[in-house]
Amino acid sequence: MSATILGILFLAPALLFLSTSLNIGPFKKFSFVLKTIQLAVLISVISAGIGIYQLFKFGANEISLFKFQELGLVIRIDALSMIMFLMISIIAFVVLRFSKNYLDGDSRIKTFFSRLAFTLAFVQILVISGNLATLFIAWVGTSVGLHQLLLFYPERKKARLAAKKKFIIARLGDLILLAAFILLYQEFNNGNLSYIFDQLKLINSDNVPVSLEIAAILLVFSACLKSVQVPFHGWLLDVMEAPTPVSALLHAGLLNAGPFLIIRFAFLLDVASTASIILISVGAVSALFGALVSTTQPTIKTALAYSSIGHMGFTLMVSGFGVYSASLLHLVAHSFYKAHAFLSSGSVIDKVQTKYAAQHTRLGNGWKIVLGVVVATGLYLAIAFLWGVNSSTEFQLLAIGSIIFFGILSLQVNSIDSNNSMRSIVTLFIGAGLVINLFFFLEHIVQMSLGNQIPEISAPNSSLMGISIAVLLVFFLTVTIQFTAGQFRKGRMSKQLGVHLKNGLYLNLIFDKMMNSLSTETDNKSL
Amino acid sequence: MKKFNTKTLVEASCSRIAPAWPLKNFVAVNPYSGFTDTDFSQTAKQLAERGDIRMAMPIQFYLDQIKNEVISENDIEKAFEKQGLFLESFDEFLHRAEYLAGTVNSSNSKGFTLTDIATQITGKNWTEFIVERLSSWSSSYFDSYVAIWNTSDVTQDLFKSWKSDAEIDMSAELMGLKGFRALISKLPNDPYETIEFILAKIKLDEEEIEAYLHANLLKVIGWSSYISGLDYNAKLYSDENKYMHEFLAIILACEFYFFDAIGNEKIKELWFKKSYEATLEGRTFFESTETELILQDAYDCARQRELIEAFDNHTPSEIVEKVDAQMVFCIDVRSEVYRRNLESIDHNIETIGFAGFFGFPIDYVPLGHSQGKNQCPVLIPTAVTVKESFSNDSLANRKRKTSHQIEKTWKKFKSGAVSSFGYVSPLGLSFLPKLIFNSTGLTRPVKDPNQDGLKKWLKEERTLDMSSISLEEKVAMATGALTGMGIKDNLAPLVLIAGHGSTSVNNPHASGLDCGACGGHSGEINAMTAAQIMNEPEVRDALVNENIHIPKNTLFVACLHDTTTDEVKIINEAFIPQSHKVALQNVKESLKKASEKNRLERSRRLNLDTENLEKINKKVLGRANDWSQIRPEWGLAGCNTFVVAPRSRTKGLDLQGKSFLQSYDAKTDIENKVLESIMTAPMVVTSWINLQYYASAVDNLHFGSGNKTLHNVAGGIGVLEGSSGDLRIGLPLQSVHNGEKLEHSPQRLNVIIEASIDSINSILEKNESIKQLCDNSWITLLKLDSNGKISHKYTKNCAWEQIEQNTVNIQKRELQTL
Repeated sequence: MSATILGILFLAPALLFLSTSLNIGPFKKFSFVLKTIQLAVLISVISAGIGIYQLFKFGANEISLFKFQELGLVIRIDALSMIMFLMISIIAFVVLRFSKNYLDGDSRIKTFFSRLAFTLAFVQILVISGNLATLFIAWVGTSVGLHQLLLFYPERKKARLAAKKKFIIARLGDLILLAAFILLYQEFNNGNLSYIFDQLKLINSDNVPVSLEIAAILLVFSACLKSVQVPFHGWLLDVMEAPTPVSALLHAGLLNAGPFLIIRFAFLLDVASTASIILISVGAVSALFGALVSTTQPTIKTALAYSSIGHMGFTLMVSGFGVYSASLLHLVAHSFYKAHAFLSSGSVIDKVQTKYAAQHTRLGNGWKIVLGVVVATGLYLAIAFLWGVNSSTEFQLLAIGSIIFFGILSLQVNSIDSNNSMRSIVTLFIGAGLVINLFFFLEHIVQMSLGNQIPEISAPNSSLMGISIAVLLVFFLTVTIQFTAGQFRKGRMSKQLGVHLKNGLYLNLIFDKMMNSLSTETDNKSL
Repeated sequence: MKKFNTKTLVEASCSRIAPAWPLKNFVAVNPYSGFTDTDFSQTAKQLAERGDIRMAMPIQFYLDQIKNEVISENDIEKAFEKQGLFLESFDEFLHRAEYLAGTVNSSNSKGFTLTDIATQITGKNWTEFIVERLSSWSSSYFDSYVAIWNTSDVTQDLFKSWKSDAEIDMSAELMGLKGFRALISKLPNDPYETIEFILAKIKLDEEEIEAYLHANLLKVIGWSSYISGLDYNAKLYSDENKYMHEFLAIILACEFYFFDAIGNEKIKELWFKKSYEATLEGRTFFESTETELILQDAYDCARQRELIEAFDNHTPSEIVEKVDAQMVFCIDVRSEVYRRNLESIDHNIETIGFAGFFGFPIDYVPLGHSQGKNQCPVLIPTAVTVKESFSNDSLANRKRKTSHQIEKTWKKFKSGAVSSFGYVSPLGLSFLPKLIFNSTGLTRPVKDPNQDGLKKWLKEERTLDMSSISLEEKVAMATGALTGMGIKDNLAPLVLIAGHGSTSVNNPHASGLDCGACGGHSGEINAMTAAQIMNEPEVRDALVNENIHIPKNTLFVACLHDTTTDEVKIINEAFIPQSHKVALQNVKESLKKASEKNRLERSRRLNLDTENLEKINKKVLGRANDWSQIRPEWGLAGCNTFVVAPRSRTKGLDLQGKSFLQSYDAKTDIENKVLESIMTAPMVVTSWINLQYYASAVDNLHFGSGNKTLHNVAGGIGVLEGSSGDLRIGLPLQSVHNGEKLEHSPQRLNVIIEASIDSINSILEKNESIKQLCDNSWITLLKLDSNGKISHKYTKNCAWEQIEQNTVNIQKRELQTL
């Protein structure tokens, strides 16, 4: 297939999506807008299929459609872009289908769809960008689209506040990204990603130009701003002021832009030294913060939002470790998981209905806890050994593996030290085994499909080693405290910690205060 | 300072707040139920003043009705009369109303509480902030499912628990309320002491206290109502008030900050001056309110006219004496449609309307559950316990238990801090097929709670274990049911007891579509209980002593009417004896046809744009399995009438799914016992439902739960609209509005009874609470005469006015010539 046709095929859905924002001719009618969007989704899936086929046959490729001074509209077909493109297309299909009945009867349903489509168009372009210029424009475009979606009910004060907060964070992120890209362009005199990556591969990591170090750090900050890392997360907690599908699309599609950017520029991160450390630190703090605060939230969508902050932090942290395949796996897995969680958030009542069936209670028996720890450790080590994970060469992979291990640890302790029947315990043991295997298997698959498109995991230097171990220790401590929680929670300290955590350590509130959120002047103003 | 009894005043203001139920059994409730001792208009004015709550539509709505000739001049005259006023000039009134419709419509209630005054003076919306904080804290304290780590101490009493958290929580101070924590820590630990302490400080006159406390509760109407509901249920089983006064103490504690601690003397000044009354804006607002109320009366009057006409023009069809089958439906308005369609298809089936718990107030305990569900009207406590049962209980029980243990442990893995990362990486992809299958309606996001963990067992029949019910109890319930249904002397060979339930997916308010008479649950289990008990030979033998002779060949069969899909399913069909199989087969065929006819009727109301039966079937069934569907069905939207009469009066009359139908024959009810039970129970319940819809339609902000697309389930008990704010009670906007216009037109319930005026009056005199309902215009009583025409209308104090049949017709003619 000719490259240009392929390029157009990949751009066609985005163009169709964007066309629905035209408020002229047939686009004035919702039925026509809907049909256009459906067609766009269909083409997306087809082009993803063709792209993947091309990828297998010819390898990674860049299609240049328009260029000036090596900046322009370039589409990159590689494993990362195709995985992301396919994922976005599926999320688009689900979210759009969901919205059709969900918004039924709303007089502005057409506006809603065209805004969704607008946003989707830029997310699609973002993930297949092969040039700094394309990437930057798409990056800004997603945020513009989201802004419009957040303001779908402009009469809602909180929605306006969220949009305002997001606007500030997003523009700051845009500026930082722009600075990073300018530095990259100056260094290489070329905006094409393939060229930049090839050049980066040649750089000796002992002799990295300062401008690249700075560019990497700027990229990291830009990603952290885009992906709601602490303390820039506040606006995410108010996104529920727009209809549920917006949350689903945001959490499954847009937030990923940060980790995506990092994986996209893995070769840069690989040669830079400090950027990864920052990434791990910010990521780990957000991961822990999001995950902990999430458990204290009594409202379902807020709990999910905090959880997303945690997962984004985790994904960034894993990238910081240099295990980009694991990072990508987590990113894709989280997208589907979170899209489903938001769209099905009304179903929680069905679970409440069966709340009184067989209460699960912990026994708090020390020996059983120890048994749980032993079983989990044995199981994990045995499976890791079978997969041939070697601690000397793959320190980072092992580090990621430990996180899986912590999960299994908590699962087994919760299962064994409880009133669970033998049957439940055995089932959960088998389940745990499957989960570990599944992780190594999927990690393997992603690593294989990314192949040489990401840097190989390199031997860790001492600072990376140090910070990794510190992070793992903190995570381990958190898990341990959780499954021995019984005694801990009664203390005065834990009580105070609980209240502060439930308020998200007041970070969002302080942001609100800075925005003068309570001012009555804005009460009745609509945009 | 005068001494007064704080406790009495607190209780008085708390009793003004109607209860609300949690989402798991979202029963309809009259949100004005604390005001039934007060006149409708008076209530409207009080609620407007204290909480900016509307009790009628905006004036423009009525002006449109006048324009469309729904409301006539005569209706408005009558409405004036009712208020003791006289309409001088219709045109002038119309003119003034048009002017008022264009004015800004907000009350002068801003300023009723200290927090409101602080908002006015500081230009910062402290009311909003305090509501948010209270709501956030309450969501945790009452959380029954969502949070894994509940940061509030639920073992402590409400006030104490709040206080200990508020002494730690830095939110208020960070927002600018300096010294908030210190102030809270100085308050007494006892809620009553705190209330007394604060009331003494702010120096309110005794007469003002109740209104002041009420206004404070209205500020957080959602949580106040939920907590009122907890107390309501506790009282049914004779417990003390538990939460309400404690919650009031919490609100007052926050109020108190703005009196003193904020350090703004202006607030105090304004508070003591009470200079917030009678602004020009306020006066216009009250004139608007009054105009709206008059127009609402006129609107009710106009709609009543249509009803009277409908009965006038209806010739009752003949009733078949000996029928093949009888089918008992719930009085629910959705039954009306089904009964009408079924009767039109099969004349040999007689239908009966009776409250859908069929007189069996049960506590139903599903297999493996440690607590049951109250399957009876919320007005009464449950009497007996029935348990879910299968052919092999212990095995099925184990199965369900195991599945729950695994699920619970799994949930901790999935959502625990840190462990969630280990969950998502390997398992996140498994949500891709879930997304696709849920989107296409092939699967539902969460297992059906009724089948949960028992899929395999449900292929077999589910039965009920009633071993804990004594024979006497069974006989008493059966006697009550058969007498109330009015069929004890003429039982057909097949008596189908049709409970009803709805099917919807991913719908937080799903239980609101289920049977209200069964406490917001599906009526399936009540129908099964009724059929099983009345089929028991011992019960039948004992019933003879009650002078009830159930023929040997009469079989009671339980079935379930699905109000979303219009299907009627026979329950436990495998147990039907050979002798009745043929008869049942005939009934089933008629039911199938009736269901299709029903779906056709439904398709028009749902605007499905097709007359093709197959397509309609597919679309209607699709709605029930669609996780993105926000209007699976219309529920009881439109309900405006309750008919208490023999079915012959309404048979063949198209009441458009807006009427509750209770079968009642005054001839067999010599001592008015049945009528009294109808007027004190189903009549109250139907008015609750009607006023629930009314309130959600006229003021969705305070008494409705807002936009479904923004719902955020809090604590597993209620919803917030968006990210924060008060708990939202009442019906979602989408349940009363189709996007273009209201699907529920706001009308108060018309109760049409065929009985003598003396009988009705004697019951009213005996029961003050229902007399208040009628006297204070919460419902309108109409009398049906022996010809099936509406002949009298209740006015007040047991007085009735005759309805001139002619005036109706004359008016009709006049309208046509206009």
